[in-house]
Amino acid sequence: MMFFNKYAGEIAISLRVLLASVGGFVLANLSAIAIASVMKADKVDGITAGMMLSFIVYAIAILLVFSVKSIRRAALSILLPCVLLFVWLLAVEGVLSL
Amino acid sequence: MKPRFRQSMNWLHTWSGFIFAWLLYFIFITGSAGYFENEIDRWMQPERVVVQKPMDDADILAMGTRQLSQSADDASQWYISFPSSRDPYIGISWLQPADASKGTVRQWLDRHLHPDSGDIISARQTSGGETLYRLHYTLYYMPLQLGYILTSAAAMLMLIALISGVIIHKKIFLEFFTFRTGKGLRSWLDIHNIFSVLPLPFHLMITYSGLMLLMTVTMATVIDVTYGEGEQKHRQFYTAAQAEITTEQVISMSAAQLSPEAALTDAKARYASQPVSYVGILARGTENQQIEVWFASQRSIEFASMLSYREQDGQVVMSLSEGKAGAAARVYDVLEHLHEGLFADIYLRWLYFICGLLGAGMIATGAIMWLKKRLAKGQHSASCALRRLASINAGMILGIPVAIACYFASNRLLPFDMAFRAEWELHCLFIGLLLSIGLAVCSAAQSVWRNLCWLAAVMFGWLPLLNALTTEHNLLVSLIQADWLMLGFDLCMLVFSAAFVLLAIRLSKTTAATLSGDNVTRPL
Repeated sequence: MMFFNKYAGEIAISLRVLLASVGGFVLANLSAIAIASVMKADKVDGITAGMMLSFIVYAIAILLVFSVKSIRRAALSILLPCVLLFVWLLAVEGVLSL
Repeated sequence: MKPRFRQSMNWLHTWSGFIFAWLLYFIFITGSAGYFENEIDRWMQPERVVVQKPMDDADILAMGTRQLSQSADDASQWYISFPSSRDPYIGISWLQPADASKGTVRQWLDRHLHPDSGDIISARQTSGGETLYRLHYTLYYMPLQLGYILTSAAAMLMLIALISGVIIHKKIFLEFFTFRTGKGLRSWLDIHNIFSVLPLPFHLMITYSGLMLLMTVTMATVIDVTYGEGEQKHRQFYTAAQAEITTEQVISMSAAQLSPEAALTDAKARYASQPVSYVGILARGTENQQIEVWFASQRSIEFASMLSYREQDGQVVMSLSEGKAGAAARVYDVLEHLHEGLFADIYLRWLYFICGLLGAGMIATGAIMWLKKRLAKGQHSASCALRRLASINAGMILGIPVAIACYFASNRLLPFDMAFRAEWELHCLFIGLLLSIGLAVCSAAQSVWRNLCWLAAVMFGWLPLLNALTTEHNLLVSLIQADWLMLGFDLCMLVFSAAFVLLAIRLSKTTAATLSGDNVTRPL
């Protein structure tokens, strides 16, 4: 416990960096897949649009992680949309499989 | 806005900007140089012969096809390029087939022709402007994929730094008009703001479109989900994404008449006012032989428009491309064209270049401030590592221009017939960078910037001299021959050199002032 108390600040920052970079990337990818699956009418165009917009999702996710007060809320704001999108893509859209 | 929110955005701005600052600076400098890719090519291949008097397009086509049938009869694709203001030469290129018996590999080759004789000009091997501009996303000395991913990561952090930078400004426009000289860190911040705010639309556009240009690498999972993994399967997506709307019509030309000459005449009649840039002969010698006539279009940001001719059921069908099929693909196209700026005329091209340099300046001043703040905190007890970092930073910021000057100089100094000449030019670029960093680390802290400025001034200043000594081209000859590209390049090098001289003199004065006790600006 000593270790955690001593480096509490550093651990919190590292966790946020990890959440923003990895979590944000996963969320960006899931959003892109979701956009592509919503724009079914034109498969190729949907993928293109999804990939293009994914960078905006990624940017917003990163800014969000560093702007909220508690690390718990930061984690929630990334992980919850990830889980929801994943479940939706898995169960409703059927584009992802386990 | 809550103060805590601004504080966290400030932290994010500082670190997202600093982590990849050197890489971003390298990307911005080489990318900016890329806007003058063709002009750099002219200087790096001085053997090319400029077409001085106007030539008939049909004569150029005949000259090109004659030379191609001699040197590349087994190639399936031929292109003949026509002189333009940026490329005032006659060029041919062909897709060389792989042939084990001759030891050739499948690759595109290109040569230039002498406008009087039509013979192939023997020119030095060079990496040229193309490889220099490709450096800004391939990064060299590493697998392509890794280069793309590192570039994209840097661009993503740049995007974050730009957005958080806008957020932390209380009064963005007021601060833009504020400039306080001789106030140390405050002055650096003012310069940083000017470099960032004035070309902010450019910075946002170039960063976002840059991310987008590499999205098929970084966001490949999205393609995997629909098309499956692997290059083979992704190719299906690329082909489909590049689909264009084409209008086809049967024209009054008999199939027997269809030849490159006839296609050129027909196309020129349709677009009388636009200059022809290329004629291509594809799938040569097969039933599907196709002739393409490309026009340099200046109407919008579309770089070119193309007419294609082929035989179908005894008739000649002409097709005209009307842009990409999908809506998102069209947006992608617009952003791609904005990023590459191929449509830009000479004035807009300079604006692109200057915006790119302002971006590089923004990154450099940001990195300098990061270091200054931390050095100032420790004052005389600043850690050794931090000081070393400050020296390396100076070596990077001025070393990258020096490295590019080395690249140009190596083009003149390496032996004409050297093996791997083009590769060695690039090795020279990175050797130049390493030597600059070495010089920076060895210099005393107060003279490091000044020394590097003098080095850069010399390296750029002697390029026109080197050109005059090693080739038949010099400022006077270029002026007399109206060889504007060669003259423009030499003059630009002198301007860069002069800029570094002025900077060096200014830095000497500041250093002198600091040493005499007037400690207003503390040098790094």
